[in-house]
Amino acid sequence: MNTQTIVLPANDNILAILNFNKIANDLKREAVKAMGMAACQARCLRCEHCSAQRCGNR
Amino acid sequence: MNITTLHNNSYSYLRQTNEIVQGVVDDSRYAWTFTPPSEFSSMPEVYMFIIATTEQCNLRCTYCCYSGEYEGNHSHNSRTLCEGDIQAIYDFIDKTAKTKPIRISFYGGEPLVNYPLVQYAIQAGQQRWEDDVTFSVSTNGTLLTEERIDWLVNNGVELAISIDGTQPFHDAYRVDAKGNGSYTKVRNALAYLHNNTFNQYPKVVLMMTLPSVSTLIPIAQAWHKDEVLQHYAPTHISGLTPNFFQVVAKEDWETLKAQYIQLLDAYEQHPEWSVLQTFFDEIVSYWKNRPVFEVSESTPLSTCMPVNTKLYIDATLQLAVCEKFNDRFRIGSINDGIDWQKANEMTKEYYRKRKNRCTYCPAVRMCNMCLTSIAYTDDQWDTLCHNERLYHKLHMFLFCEMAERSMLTKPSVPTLQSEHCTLNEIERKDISALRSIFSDADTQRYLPYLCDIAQTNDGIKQILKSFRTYLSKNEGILWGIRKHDTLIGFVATIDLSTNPTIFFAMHPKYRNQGYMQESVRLATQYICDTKLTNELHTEVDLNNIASQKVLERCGYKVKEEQSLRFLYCYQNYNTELQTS
Repeated sequence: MNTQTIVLPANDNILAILNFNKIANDLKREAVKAMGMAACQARCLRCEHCSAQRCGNR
Repeated sequence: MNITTLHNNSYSYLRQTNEIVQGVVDDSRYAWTFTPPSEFSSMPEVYMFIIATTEQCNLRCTYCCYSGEYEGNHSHNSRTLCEGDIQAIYDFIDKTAKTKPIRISFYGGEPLVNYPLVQYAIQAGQQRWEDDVTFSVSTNGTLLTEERIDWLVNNGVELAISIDGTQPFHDAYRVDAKGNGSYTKVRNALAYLHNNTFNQYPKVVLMMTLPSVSTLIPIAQAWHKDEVLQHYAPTHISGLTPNFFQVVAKEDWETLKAQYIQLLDAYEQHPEWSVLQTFFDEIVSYWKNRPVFEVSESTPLSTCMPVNTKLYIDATLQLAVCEKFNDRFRIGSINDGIDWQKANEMTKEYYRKRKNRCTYCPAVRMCNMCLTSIAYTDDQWDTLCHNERLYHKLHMFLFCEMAERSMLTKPSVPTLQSEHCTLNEIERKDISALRSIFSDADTQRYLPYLCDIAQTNDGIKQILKSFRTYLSKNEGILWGIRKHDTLIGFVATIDLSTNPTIFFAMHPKYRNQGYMQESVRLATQYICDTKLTNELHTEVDLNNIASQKVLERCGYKVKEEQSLRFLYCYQNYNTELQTS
């Protein structure tokens, strides 16, 4: 029988989850530049809820 | 910033690297510095324009920033733009927008108080920019008649509708000048949208204001039960703007923590309550997505100008970088253009206020204080900074707590692979393939209850939504069976903790080729291997010979013969599943 089962990894490496978005060195410059964005702008880019048309950011 | 979770694990946040580490670590010695702002005379990223078509509103929401209770802001009045103003604004937009498509959002007051003007503005914009413009309307929803909804939807306009929960919660604050609630009209609009357009029209966003988190659980519960609201999730939940005309208290850590632990427990119990999903998604969003990298030099101060993507045009044709600025902070007008001197002064003032305050602040990388806070005095900043730091610490605590409770990784349907088939998650794009399986005569004969629900696309979406809930609670899994990328059938398990049951169906074109046998075998083995249950049951019609053969070949035995059906059972002590 040829069965492969792919399951979710167990949640045992908590620090990997807490520090998920590690930035590689070659992308650091862009990341520093993005720090100049207003908090609301950054939130808007992170938003996963709206239709990606932006919500007017009220 | 250090926190300890309820399991007594300590975590520290390090500003310099934006990292969370285990244990108690002190990084308070690193002195944060901001790069002084440079002079600017352009805003190269602007593509979004918020236009306040009127300062009039048919409601008098008690927390509104235009209620007359907020320093520096106008109160509601009859000021309204005209068609000539719209053309002048559009001329300004033509000169100013640096990228396309342009996004125009109508704001107020309540823009639909002057609906003909909104229609005019949309049509004029479409004439001018054709496909290079999109529109949205921020509305209290009370003036959305069916006719207006039809027109707005047909013109592709996004609707940002304010709703604070079901009736008792919404009408506690969102009232007209006589104190009458507005909920019924808003709900009617949402019901019409859902029943008539929603399946084809995803551009409805719901904005919720939450004056007090103490009402969040009852709001979430009632929302989930409401026959209209349950089809929507709030897009954004915000608190009240601090109002120093009244009292803005310094929050207390222990009180806040106790309150939010209650909320988290409720969310853990009810992951399907969409209001709680939005609430906690927004809380952990920064923490989940924050870029982890070390800073060793000065960094740009996070300020909108000059990298702002939007401009606000008020009903007197004055400009601001954002609609949240109080009326004192305008940076020009449609006729005179942007006053660059004033815009630069505001940014420099903001830098001066933050330069020293933030040097040793643990929340410097995540702070939500923005350019609008130049309106506040030093004492007011002290209060806001205190609360800002406290809430970030609270959100860090919740983030770590949710990680420990496995609430951050959403369970997903496991992908199973056999010789000819792939079993994986069924998505919305599969709905038409599912319809053809459910509309088959044999499927309807042998799975009548399910096919009854699945008569419409809405019914199928409800089934998919139910299985997402089952999955989140380890109570069931729905697999789509695919041959290459084509959905050819499904196999599902439900009620795993009480009455573990399996059922399945295949498109007639793919029957009698061994695919269902492979799939039932895979699903059965997965359920038993992962110890979700040790046995599975199913009922099969006496005449459904094909399914009986599938089950028997997968090691299921007849447990009971009834007059019209067989009850089959699979027990995990079987050492091997039969091969064909």
